[in-house]
Amino acid sequence: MTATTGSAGGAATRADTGTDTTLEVDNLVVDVLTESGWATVVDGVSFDVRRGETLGIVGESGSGKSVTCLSIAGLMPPRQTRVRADTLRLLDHDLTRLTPKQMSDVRGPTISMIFQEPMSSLNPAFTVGDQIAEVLRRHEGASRRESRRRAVELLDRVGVPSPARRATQYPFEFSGGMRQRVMIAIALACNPDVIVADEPTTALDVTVQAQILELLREIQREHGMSVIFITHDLGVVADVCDRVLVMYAGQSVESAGLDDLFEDPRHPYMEGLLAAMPRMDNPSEALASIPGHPPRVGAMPDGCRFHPRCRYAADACTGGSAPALELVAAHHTTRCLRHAELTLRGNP
Amino acid sequence: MLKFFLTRLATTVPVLLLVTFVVFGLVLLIPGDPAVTIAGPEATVEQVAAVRERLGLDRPMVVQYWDWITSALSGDLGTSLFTSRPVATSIGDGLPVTLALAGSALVISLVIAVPTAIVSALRRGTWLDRISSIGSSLGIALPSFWLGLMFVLLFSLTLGWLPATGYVAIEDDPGAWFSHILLPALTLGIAGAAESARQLRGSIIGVLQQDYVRTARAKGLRGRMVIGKHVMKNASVPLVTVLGLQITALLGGAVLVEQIFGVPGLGQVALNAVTTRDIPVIQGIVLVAVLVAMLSNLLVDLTYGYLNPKVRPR
Repeated sequence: MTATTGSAGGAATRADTGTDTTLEVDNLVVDVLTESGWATVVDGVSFDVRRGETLGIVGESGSGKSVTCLSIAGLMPPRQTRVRADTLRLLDHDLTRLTPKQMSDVRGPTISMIFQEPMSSLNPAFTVGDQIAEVLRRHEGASRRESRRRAVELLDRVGVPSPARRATQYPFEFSGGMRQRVMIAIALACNPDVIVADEPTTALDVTVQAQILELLREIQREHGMSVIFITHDLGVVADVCDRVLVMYAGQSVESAGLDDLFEDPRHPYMEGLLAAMPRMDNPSEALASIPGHPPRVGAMPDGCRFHPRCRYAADACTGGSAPALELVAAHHTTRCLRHAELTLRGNP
Repeated sequence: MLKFFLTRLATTVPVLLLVTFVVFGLVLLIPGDPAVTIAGPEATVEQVAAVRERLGLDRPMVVQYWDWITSALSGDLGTSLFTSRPVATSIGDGLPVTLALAGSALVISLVIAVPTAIVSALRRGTWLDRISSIGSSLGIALPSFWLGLMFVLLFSLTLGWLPATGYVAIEDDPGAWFSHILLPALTLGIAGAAESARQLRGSIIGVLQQDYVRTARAKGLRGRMVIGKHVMKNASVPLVTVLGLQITALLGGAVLVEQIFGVPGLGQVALNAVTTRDIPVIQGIVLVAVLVAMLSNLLVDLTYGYLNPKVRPR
């Protein structure tokens, strides 16, 4: 990656941060209001995303991966959520200091989202074309005619056949895969620097999944944007991600480059996830599963949060506060006390 | 949309026909012989027979119906048995006043209900929400005749801001019309406002939890746009149902409110006709009321088509 630092001109605002980091998150803590009071659902998550790369965030449901991204984008319900972070920087925007109104200026042109449920994420009462066009009207001040024309172009770009006719139709006239293409068109409309894709293929058929992933990859290549890909499917991770952040019970437990992580996992949870993944080279091998369930919010175990389910858990793992993240190799961190003694099995 | 409109319009024809049967059949349902009533208690059998013949009450039902329907179609609803005024004229005088009253009541109830519902849905559980919830309970519970009297006491007699009774046609003096219609319309509209506010608050809360509202926010749309466009169009569907029902209720309620405020609407005409068993007038008024109800149902259905593209025929 060539760093174009410090040059004057239109791109200066983006380059003058001195690095090619688009999103920097340091010690993000999110509390949500539950029936029994405030509970911490994201606990000290840190990561950054570089220009043009795809960061995968992996974890079981309830691990806090969606909340992490919704909080960054300011999309958690304000009165039931508290978001704190040491750093939350998106290009030159300090997201911790933005008012809700300023935040809404950022959503769309700088960061945009694709959600899991293409069936319910589009408004049933408006045409698909209008739902794309309104983003352009809002952020780029495009006229009705101009925004409509560009909506058709975007539909064409994301591979919706006969886009001019389809733009005048309503979401219920689209299949799941086509709706997800529309969602991608909406996310793409203002050429954002970061796209957060929150399990974008989970609700789709396998063949459609592959098409949508291919489309996302293609668009990323074309526009050089950063993508945060939230998923629980390691197959998808292996397919699209450059680096991976593994989350468990609201914390990041391991992060590494894709190959490092798959070949040399340093946290027992990641080993468990890999063992639960079907292997192409040895399909007859029985799939392992991780025993037990993730802890509930507000009832986190002492010590390492994974220890009740960990086959390697020792006495040291069960008490005190959660172990700290340790750097075990270049760009590879883990939250396991015993990482040095253990030899964990990968799934290259 | 045009096709939808025409289809929907065509379905009203059989209903309308059925309604004319029922309205005409009213004569049969009402106890007592109108000829006897008109001729008076002292009349001889011959006099009653003469009246009956003059009114055509002695002819076969089918012939009577045919006469009635053909003249009704040409705008002749017969003449009152008592005042000898053409029914169409009485209705023509009263209907615009009643429609103006009911229409203003509807507008007032929406002006109250929509902002209240939005605020209490967005500030759910706060004191603002609780106050508006208490307010709408009161609005539904308090009878309109009591409310009307309280309004007169407060705004007319104590503060002297608005006239207590009377009516001025809008084409004569719009300002005077407004000041005369405000209190009756408020009285008539407040129950509807309370009901609509409740209904709308509930559906807004439901819609706010929909994924597409999160999508709208994720697009960076301003709060005003998210609520005004994405939430309201979907949340309005149950409201429209309620409004459709309210329109007919407003016509009924207008009878009472017209009495309280001395508004010369259809209510007075209807009341007189019912007490004197003035069949042609009753028929005319019921026919008009049914037409208004059907028209409002038609409007409701068309609004559904606008709000929910799924119900439009393709």
